[in-house]
Amino acid sequence: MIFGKKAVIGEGIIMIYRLLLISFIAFIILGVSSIFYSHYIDVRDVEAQIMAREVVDCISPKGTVDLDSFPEEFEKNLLIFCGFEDFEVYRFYVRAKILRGDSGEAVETLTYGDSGVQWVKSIFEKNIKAVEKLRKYEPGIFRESYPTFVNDSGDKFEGVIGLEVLVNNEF
Amino acid sequence: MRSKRGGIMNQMIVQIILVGLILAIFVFATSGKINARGVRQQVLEKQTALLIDSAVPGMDFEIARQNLNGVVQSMELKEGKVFVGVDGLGSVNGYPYFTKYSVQVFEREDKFVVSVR
Repeated sequence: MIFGKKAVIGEGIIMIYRLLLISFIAFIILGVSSIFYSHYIDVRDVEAQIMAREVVDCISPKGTVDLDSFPEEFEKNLLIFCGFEDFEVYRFYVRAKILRGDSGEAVETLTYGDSGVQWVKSIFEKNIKAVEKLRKYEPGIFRESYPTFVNDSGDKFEGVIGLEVLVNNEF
Repeated sequence: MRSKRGGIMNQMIVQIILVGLILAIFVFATSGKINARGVRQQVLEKQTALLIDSAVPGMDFEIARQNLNGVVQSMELKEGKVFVGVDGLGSVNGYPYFTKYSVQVFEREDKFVVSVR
């Protein structure tokens, strides 16, 4: 069978059309996948560290924690007490335990946020294989103890602030 | 003169090669650029957010339009988030920052100035 000239041109045009269509689809697939699979830069540990500094400056200005300065309604709203707005610190869980320096007994615990994030963090800390692919969702963390002086209704003693800050993902 | 079957086979092979070539060109030419822009945008947004997080009142810092991370076209602070447009890639999600202070961003000549008061 002999191909006619017109038929060859027609097939060529159809081929160009197909190629353009395939290119267009490839471009869309590539564009969409690049949005979802782009490299993620994790700065949550650093954010936790910055927040820890802010919290310590807030509860222990000049190196002394005055336990009488925390109204009861702020004991579970520490970051609001420190001057932050809810909408900007919704990812954070903060727990500040104020302990006696000699006995280690907790005299006050101030918190903010959803403590469930501790449970999420504990899963990641167990190094289970199943969570390897979910590392993007691992909360950032900063734990530290800061020596301080504590003023409890006139009773002054040396103490320690045991601080834990967890930062959830932003997605 | 050639048979119909042979002609179709030839066409198929040419098409497959062309499609393969086009896909390869697309992957090499665009994936690098698209990903790089996204990453550079992340870098700028997160760097700016961290600077705001750790800033104290009275501090100003500048982000040049002609930046190491590309051409910064826009910079906005909205609802507690930093949005940076880089090399034509607008920011959709932004990155959240936290601060007790008032933060503003404004353009000055060829740079964006973030002011913490």
